[in-house]
Amino acid sequence: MMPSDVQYRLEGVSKAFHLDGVEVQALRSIDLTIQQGELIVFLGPSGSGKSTLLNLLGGLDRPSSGMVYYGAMDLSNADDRTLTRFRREKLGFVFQSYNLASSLTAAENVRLATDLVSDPLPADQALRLVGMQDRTNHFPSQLSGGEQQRVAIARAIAKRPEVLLCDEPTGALDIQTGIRVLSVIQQIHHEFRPTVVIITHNSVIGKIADRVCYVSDGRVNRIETNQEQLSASELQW
Amino acid sequence: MNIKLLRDLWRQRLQSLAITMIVACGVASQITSFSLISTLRSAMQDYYDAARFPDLFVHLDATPLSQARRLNSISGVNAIQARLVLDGPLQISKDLNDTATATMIAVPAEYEGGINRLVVRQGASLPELSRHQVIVSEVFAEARNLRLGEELQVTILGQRHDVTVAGIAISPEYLFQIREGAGVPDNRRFAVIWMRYADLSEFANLSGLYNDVLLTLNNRVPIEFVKEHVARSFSTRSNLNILERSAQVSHRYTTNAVSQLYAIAIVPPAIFLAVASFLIYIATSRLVRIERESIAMQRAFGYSSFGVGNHYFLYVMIVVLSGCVLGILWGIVLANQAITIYNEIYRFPSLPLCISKWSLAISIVASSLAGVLGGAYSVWSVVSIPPALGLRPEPPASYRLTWYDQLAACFNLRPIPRMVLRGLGRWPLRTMLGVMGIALGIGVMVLGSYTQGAIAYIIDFEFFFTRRYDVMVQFAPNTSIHAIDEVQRLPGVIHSEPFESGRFSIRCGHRYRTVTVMGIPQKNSMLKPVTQDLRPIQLHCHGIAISYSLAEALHADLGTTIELSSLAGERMVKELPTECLVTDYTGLNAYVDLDDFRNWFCQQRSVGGVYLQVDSNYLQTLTDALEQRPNVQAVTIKNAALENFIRNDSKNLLLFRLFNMLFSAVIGVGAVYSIASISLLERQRDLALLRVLGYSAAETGRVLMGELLVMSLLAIPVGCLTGYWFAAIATWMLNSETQRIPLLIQPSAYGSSVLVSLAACLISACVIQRRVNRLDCIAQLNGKD
Repeated sequence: MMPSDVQYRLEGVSKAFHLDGVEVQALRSIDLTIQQGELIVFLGPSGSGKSTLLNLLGGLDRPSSGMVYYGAMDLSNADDRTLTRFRREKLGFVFQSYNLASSLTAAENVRLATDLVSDPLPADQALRLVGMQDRTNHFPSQLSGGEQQRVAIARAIAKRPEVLLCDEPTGALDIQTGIRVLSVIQQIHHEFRPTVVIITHNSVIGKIADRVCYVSDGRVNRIETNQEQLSASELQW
Repeated sequence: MNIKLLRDLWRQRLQSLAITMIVACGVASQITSFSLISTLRSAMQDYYDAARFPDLFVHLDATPLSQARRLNSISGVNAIQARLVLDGPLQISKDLNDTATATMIAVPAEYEGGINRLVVRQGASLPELSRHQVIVSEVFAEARNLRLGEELQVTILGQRHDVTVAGIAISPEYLFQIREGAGVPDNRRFAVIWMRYADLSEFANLSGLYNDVLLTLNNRVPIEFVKEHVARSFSTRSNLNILERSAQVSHRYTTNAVSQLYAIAIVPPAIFLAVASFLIYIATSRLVRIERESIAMQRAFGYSSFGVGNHYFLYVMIVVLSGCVLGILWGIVLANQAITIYNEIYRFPSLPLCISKWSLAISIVASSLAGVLGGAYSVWSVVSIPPALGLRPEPPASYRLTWYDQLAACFNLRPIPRMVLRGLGRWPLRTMLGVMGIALGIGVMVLGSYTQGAIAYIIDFEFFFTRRYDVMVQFAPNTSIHAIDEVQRLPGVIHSEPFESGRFSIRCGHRYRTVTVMGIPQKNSMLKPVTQDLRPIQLHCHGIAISYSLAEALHADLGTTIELSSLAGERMVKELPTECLVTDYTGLNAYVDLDDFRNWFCQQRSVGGVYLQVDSNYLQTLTDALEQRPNVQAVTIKNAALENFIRNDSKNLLLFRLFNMLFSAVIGVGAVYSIASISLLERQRDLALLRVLGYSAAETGRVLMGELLVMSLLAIPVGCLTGYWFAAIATWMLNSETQRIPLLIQPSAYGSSVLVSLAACLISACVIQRRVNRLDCIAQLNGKD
């Protein structure tokens, strides 16, 4: 399906960090739009600035200069309360290291997200969507890496988010498990049509995206549009 | 490694500061108490040596001076001082309305300057006194603002004599000035005055006589031998009373005060160091868990287990030894302040602060030990993990569904309360230690508050419940029983009740004490000694009622026969069964029925004293009228004594209360903050996750606040119980024969301690919440600390 409305608009976005008096330029004058319902992959090596970009898109950080818009909402100048509400209502996050609360079961981890919104997917349904319906009462320590990541995806989608932000979702997984996780993300994208942003250093993953943004040295060097997207199960690396 | 050490210290600064402060409190308490003990003991020893303080105190009926010299020939006696000692009313010309009782002492010229020397603070010394000039004790002069040259009136045998203050002095005999048998000091109404022998003997018609003799002894002969020979020398004299130094009233009170200081020197430091050790254990165990990978990496780089462990050992040592140094300095400041208070209570020629070197060494060793004990296990448990294992990310903490999950399911608890419950239940030992940390804070606060309540109870008990009179009048010896009727007719007297009293040696087996025995009417209404269940004692079968403390000192119990030997008048011995045990809180007391007392020990038709209930409007007029009467030896106004008790006792226990209140605040905030801060350190990844998911900072903070709240609620009963036990230990250590503190903890002491503890939790919670607000979510979720 072709994207329609603009979800994110980045205008001249730069981000610099000051570490022990040394300025590190993580992003340099990025101009970019992300369409609603698009599956976009940011591809780049470690330290290229793609995680910083994801943090800006997720309202976890503010740019040093430039503007980040979510629809009409200005994220670059929003206060902490507005950004919290933005994350609560609009976003779902998936991390490389899963970041499940170790003291909560799979179902409770999902409920952690569903408690935040008024019309969530029931936790059971969210877990069923990722094939984890038989492991609802298991704690993270009783789950494999792939299972933990699928629970993390269930948690992210249970809010029915407008945007799913995935930070190296397969980075800590073996190939087979990684493909399984990507399949789940792809399936969710097809079924619920959220905007999906994946950042990765694995170029193969770009083949499932609508567009691939190549990031290096804090810049988006190139954007490629895939005329045809592969299914995650067709990927090999 | 050194840079890392500094960085760790800086990163954990608030938590380390909390532990440092707790160590400092313990060390300060120890340094202050031990310094005061060594200061008082060395000042007392120096004073006694310089003034040649006697070893034996003998009181007897008036005896010719020539007979005193033969005491010199008793083996073991170094020197003697014979003198006249008389009690009588004293008035100050500028303030005739406020009469005092004076102990008047006169030393014949041949014994002056030998032993028991005075230290003159102002004016004339004893040899320099002219006719009708006196030296007054410093505490009385200060209490009455007396200056040299002021006129006094002493009443002896009903005759008033004008004397002039020519000097102000202190004496080792009145290092702590209190009237024998008074229970509490009254510096405004009890004076010691020294005058020329010629004057006092003339006033009392006792020329060439003495009634008191002091002896210094050498160590070569047992004191019992000397006492026996002294008693034999005066076998024909009546009213003989021989006291060793340990029974001398001022010495007894001063040494008891030193014993009380031992309680402060031992109990609070032990508690504080135990809490510090526990917090160090918690802090290091969580710190090394968080730094598990970094520790493994250091080991992989080639640092030895010892080298890596040494880093944490240094961290712990810096924290505790900083506390130790701070505590030493703080202790010295506190000791200096305490000496100012002690200088008002105890009169030494000088009281220079003497820092106990032993206490310095003990403080350093004890705080180091607390650090090592606290940190050793947790550090070793991590440095001993093989590097390959340690480098792998720690697997998620394993949880299992338990009974409280079913409970949570019943209440349909949301995930955050479940995180709180599981966090607490996953490490029950750690939770228990956390609860104990907060409970110890509450316990120390209960300990700090209970003495205040206990003193209020003592005041109520001793001054209102037991003593229901307004004025106590003591008559001169052999006063006719008609004096009661005469006093009853004085203006303002509502009701009167006679009593008898006398000094007795009370013996049970080989144990004995010298106490004042009171003879009180069976249906007494003004002095009501009570039993443990607060019922008035019943004396009816020729028995004796004694204080629990006296029973303890004599190893006597109900029914035990004890022997009374009168120390006044004709020497009489009586064996009596212990009929009742009396609950009281000051002094050693004994009571017999008034009629029995009179039959056994008094001349018929005489009276010792009378208790009066008076119309308060006539109190002054009545006091004036009583002072005019020649047969009145002393008048005690209860309310004046009460004011003095409050003033003096407050000072005595001020230090103890001050320590506890101050330290409890530190321990409360320190323990709670440390626990909360460590919890934050451990849970920050979960908290960052919640923030990223869209929970607000306040909602996220509930994970820690909930944990803190549950631990605080659990700590309340444990803390109250701990406080009770601390109070029981303190009571046991503070109780002495001169003063006892009841183990009665007012509900308000528990209430205020819990409130202060909850306030400490709240303050800590606010500080922790600020840290949650500023949490670097990105760094946490990327696995950076």
